[in-house]
Amino acid sequence: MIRTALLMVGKDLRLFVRDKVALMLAVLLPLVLVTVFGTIMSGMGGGGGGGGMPAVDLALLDLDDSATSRAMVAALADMDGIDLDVRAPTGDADADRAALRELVHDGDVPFAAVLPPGFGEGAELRLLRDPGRDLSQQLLMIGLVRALFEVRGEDMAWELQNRALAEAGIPEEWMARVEAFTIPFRAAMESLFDDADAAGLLADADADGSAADDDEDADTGPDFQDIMMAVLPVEAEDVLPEGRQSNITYMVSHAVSGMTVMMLMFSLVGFARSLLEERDDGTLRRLLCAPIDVRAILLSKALGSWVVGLGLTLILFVYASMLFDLDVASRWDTLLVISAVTAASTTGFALLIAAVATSDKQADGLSTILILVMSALGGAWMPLLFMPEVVQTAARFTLPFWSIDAYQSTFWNGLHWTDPAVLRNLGVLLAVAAALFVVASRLFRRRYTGAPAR
Amino acid sequence: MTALLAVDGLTFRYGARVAVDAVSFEVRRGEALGLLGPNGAGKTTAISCLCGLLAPAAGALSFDGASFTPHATPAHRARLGVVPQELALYDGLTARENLLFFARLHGVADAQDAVARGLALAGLESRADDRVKTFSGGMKRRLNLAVAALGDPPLTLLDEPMVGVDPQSRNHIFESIERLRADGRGMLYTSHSMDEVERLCDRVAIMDRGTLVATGTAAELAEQAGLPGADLERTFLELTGRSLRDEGGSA
Ligand SMILES: Nc1ncnc2c1ncn2[C@@H]1O[C@H](COP(=O)(O)OP(=O)(O)OP(=O)(O)O)[C@@H](O)[C@H]1O
Ligand SMILES: [Mg+2]
Repeated sequence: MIRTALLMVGKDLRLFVRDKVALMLAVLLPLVLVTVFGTIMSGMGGGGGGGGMPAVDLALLDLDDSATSRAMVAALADMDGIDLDVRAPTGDADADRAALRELVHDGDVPFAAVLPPGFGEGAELRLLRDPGRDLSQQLLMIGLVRALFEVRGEDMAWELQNRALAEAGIPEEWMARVEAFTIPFRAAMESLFDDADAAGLLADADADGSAADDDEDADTGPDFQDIMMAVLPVEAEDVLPEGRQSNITYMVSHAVSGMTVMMLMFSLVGFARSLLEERDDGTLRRLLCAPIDVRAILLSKALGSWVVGLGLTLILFVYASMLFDLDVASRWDTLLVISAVTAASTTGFALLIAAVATSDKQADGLSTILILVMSALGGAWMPLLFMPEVVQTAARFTLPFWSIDAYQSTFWNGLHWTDPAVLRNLGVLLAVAAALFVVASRLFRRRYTGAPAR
Repeated sequence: MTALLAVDGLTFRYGARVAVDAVSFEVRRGEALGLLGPNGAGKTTAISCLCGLLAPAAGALSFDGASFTPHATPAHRARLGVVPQELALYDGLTARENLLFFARLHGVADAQDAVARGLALAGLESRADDRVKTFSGGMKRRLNLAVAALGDPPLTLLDEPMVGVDPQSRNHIFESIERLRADGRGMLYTSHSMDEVERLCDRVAIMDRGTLVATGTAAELAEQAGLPGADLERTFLELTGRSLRDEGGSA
């Protein structure tokens, strides 16, 4: 039976490479999509530090123009997560505020900030926001708090304390009691720091270049996140997987594996459709009349589709490695194993479509809908990270999820295919592949061989 | 002498529609049996049962005296050459590649030799390495026939092998078919062309609406129809009636 199947695989592959249009669709289209998606995603993850989050747009109007307000503008401009658009004041403050409000109102920017006159003396920053932008507001608030800390320095801490007390219900007139001990305490703290500084005990918190600083922090100043981590009762430990490439963002490797997995489904359904073509042009009847085990027919489709799928996946990863500096070479064995298993599960899917459909058109329609839905749900277009919990749960019922998750676990977490986390995904994919193949071959036998399905 | 192929009570239903209803006939050694019948009579369905594409609901088949279940046993299908009613060829492969593929699929011992003979049978030696999609209808018909003859099968089932071919191709196919039934091999031949059947077939079986109406030589059938000496066409019309066989009239 294997010999017969191989004979038919040879015929199918020959026909496949001869059909130039089909071949272009199967190979060129995935290359184009990987290029486009990878490029878009690498742009989104660009600038580093953003962790793949797009920067938040913030329009800013500085009506104070003091040293403090200018420092605030500079601090915000430096912030990774904020894309700052500084508006020049025209001299008519009311008109400027109205213009800024209109920007937010019209959706040109999600957020706008006004540094009012007197900002340097403690006047509050005014934030105009589009309330529909919850997630980006959180990112923006982190940036604003960070910038305020940098600009206002320690005053900010005392200010926060007073406000917290006011919020807690301490009346304004009692603040004198608070100040009775905070003012001497501040003075004592300041002299403590002055003495420590004079003794050379302080780390260079202002990064004016005098102290030996870590080079990574040399130009950005003290890292707010680091200070918070040091102050809060939280201990952070950096766990950097060995295989992770610093220059490749999560989004790019995700885009490459997502598009590869999706296009693989399209291409293999295209290949398995040859079964329907053979049925329509009568050659399938000829195969069925031949003195062969009819199971060899479907087996040959499975083998051919698997070979095409594996080849296509490898082409796509090699191509992506050249285009995006994706490190494929150092993890070739893991990629090969995941790709082989992914090609097998996708083959199962493609055969089922070919066995269920009663015409080419039906196969195309059915497979397109299923592939698009599974790709969207399974995270082929967008990491599931950004999706609601319902989708993250539903994703587990799609094929692309398990493949993409396996690919990402090597690209991002540097796992080898023998790692239990990867093996679990491979196991799921193989089980699904086997189940799909069994169902497809039963359907095939019942539909085409006259013999009752056994 | 035992028949090469004996069909006894063959029945097949598509759902509720009985397409072949208790049909019995035999093909003897070295004989060509013509199977005639109006459109929808059940000829293709009967052939599909014989070559294993369909599993009959009832009936016994025997080959050379031994019972025979083609749909269940691949080895049984090795005895049959089948020329399907439609052109069943890979358009993207050349004539040679088609022949070679099917020769290997049938486990023909010397595949290259079989391919050479197939090309000669189809008269396609000069176009052997052109893709089938570049062939004319008649060329494809000839190749369709040559593929069925690849393994020198003892019995060949031909389902309208000469639709849409010119007189030259027809003549070539006639000669090829006459060679196929030499050496004691048998042939079941369906056609709507009476002169083809008169020229090629020793005996004729006439089917109508799933049942076998009559079997015998052309002269015997004419006598059965009460038209001694009549040609096959008149006999056929007499036996099957003149009404059209569209769905409404035959239900
Ligand atoms: N796949 C099918 N499903 C349902 N009914 C079918 C199918 N194939 C054939 N039939 C029906 O079975 C009957 C016999 O059809 P068949 O094709 O065997 O006739 P035929 O004698 O070969 O006709 P023709 O001379 O037109 O080729 C017809 O009534 C046809 O409508
Ligand atoms: Mg027919």
